Amino acid sequence: MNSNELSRFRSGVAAAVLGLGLAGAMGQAEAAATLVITNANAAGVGFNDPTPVAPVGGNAGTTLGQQRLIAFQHAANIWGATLTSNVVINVQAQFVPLSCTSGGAVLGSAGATEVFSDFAPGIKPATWYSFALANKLAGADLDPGVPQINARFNVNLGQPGCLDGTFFYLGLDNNHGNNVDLVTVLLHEFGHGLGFQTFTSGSTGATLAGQPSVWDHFMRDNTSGKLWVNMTDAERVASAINARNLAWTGANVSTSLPGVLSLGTPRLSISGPAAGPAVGDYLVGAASFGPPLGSTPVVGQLMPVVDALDGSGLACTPLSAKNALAVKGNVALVDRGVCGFAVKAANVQAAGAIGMIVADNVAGSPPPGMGGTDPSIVIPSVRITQADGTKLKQRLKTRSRTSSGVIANLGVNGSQYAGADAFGRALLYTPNPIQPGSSVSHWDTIAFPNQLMEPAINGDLLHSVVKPADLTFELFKDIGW
Amino acid sequence: MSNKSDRELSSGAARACRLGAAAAMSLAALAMSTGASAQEASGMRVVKDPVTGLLRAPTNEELKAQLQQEAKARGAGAASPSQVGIVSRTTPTLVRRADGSRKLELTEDSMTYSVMTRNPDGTLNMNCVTGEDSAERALKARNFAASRTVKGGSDEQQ
Repeated sequence: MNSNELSRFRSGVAAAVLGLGLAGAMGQAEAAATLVITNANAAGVGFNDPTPVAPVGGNAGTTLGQQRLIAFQHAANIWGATLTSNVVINVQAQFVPLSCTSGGAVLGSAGATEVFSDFAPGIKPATWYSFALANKLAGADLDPGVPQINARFNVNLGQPGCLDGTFFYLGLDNNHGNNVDLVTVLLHEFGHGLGFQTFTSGSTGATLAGQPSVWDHFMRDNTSGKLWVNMTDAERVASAINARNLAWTGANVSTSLPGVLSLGTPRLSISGPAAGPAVGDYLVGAASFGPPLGSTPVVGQLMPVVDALDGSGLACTPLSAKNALAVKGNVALVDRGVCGFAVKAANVQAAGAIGMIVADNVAGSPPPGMGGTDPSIVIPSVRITQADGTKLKQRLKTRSRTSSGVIANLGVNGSQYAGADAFGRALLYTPNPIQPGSSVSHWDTIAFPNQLMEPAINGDLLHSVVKPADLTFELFKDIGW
Repeated sequence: MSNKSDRELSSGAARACRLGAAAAMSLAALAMSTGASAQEASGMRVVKDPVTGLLRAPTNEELKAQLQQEAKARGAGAASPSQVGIVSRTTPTLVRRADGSRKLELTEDSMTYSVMTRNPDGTLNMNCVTGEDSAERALKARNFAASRTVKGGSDEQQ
């Protein structure tokens, strides 16, 4: 889905004393927590790199090391202004070499160093809580001398052989362009370290050392009707791949969701005299080009493009006369592959199609969104799964040159929030097949506007962890923050 | 014993105002748990006030100094700072404490990783995975599943 113009922008909190996180209100009158960034780099490297640099985007540091530390502290300040805790949160951080090639890089890692259970009255018994949250609930440091969060970020990013030319943007103003906004990545990773995570495995269903995590008390599978805390291992494995059917039941998130997510979930509805068993609603992935699906649907005959020897339709070049005749005034069905999604959209649009559906070429659900940029695209586009594409193509075999009898309705479910289930509960990310490390401990990617704690850290995120921009802090309130 | 008069606040201790407004920030004070003396407050940090000689919670500056001193005191034979608390372990370590609580020391498998890969057309995908193995696999896979989950400027584009 296109990033609509968002007028919400939130400034960071006032600058902190370097090396200390300061607390203050961020719409939370009593919020106050101190996040301390402990510089674990040796002299001359990482946070201590003396390379002179010009100030950038509100980051007044004059050396590379200073700017890195200021960016870290800025992200820490945002969290510090939001959370409440009487116990200092120590983030031990350093820039070190991490894995990378010219084509990719590990940007960084972060996480809680320990978890605790049964440490204070009134908490869920025999349940794991992340270190920083456990300290807050206990009102004491449960393991002095140990950092609550460990963070390591790639010192070589942008250098030859390490995603060449793509650097961390160290400004504080989110004006990252084609570079990686470090503050956004830090907000996301610190979020995991502060508790946006279950420690129960989605791959095996096993709890950590025989105990559930606090998250497991809030995740409900809409097919089984069970909370993760009440499931068997096998049930959790099935739930972790139950696409768009695992929902967060916490009251703070559910109450706040209507003010954060947009009303209207993109959907494809199939009907028509030739649709047969293909009639129904389909999961879709939205496009970042062309108009977003709206309350006024685009409706037309579904007609395939066929331009490859194997019978697929790639639409990577201007359509042939036969294909153009087929899609003119109709919704074009094409296949993913070879060229960009926006290229396909441009070609079917040029041929007169009123919409485009791209069938994926690999198995999996839910269908991801489609990236790309082309301001000339004026028709809506969606992606469907490979399996759904195969199902629809079966129904198109009896088509004529200009019609199929299968009607595609591209619109939105106006009663459902983008990123929520039919009951208004936020959806967690449960693709099939499971994506180890991404599944479960993130919001579903259908959420709109984009949320900080989706598995893909999107380029249009704001530096916000609170409503109305973001639901992260609402989930934190549900688990005890 | 919690004693608010002993807490030290940073200068400029007004609370921040609403979003977008410049504000003075207040430091959150470190607090002793209520009802505990210094000796019995196991798990608590204390310092001796140089003026009064009384035990109290450390200020933020004092805490930072303590943490850095402890890191140095671990000495040459100890784990490097990057390994304190987590990455040197290969298996989670469960500790049952005398008060009935449990502590589990986590490993790299619980850490989350941000991984960025470049598409053939030069655009970038950025994704979050858990565990070093997942990160390495994500880095190696040109078209790994998690990179399909995108919207906005970092989308998969074909």
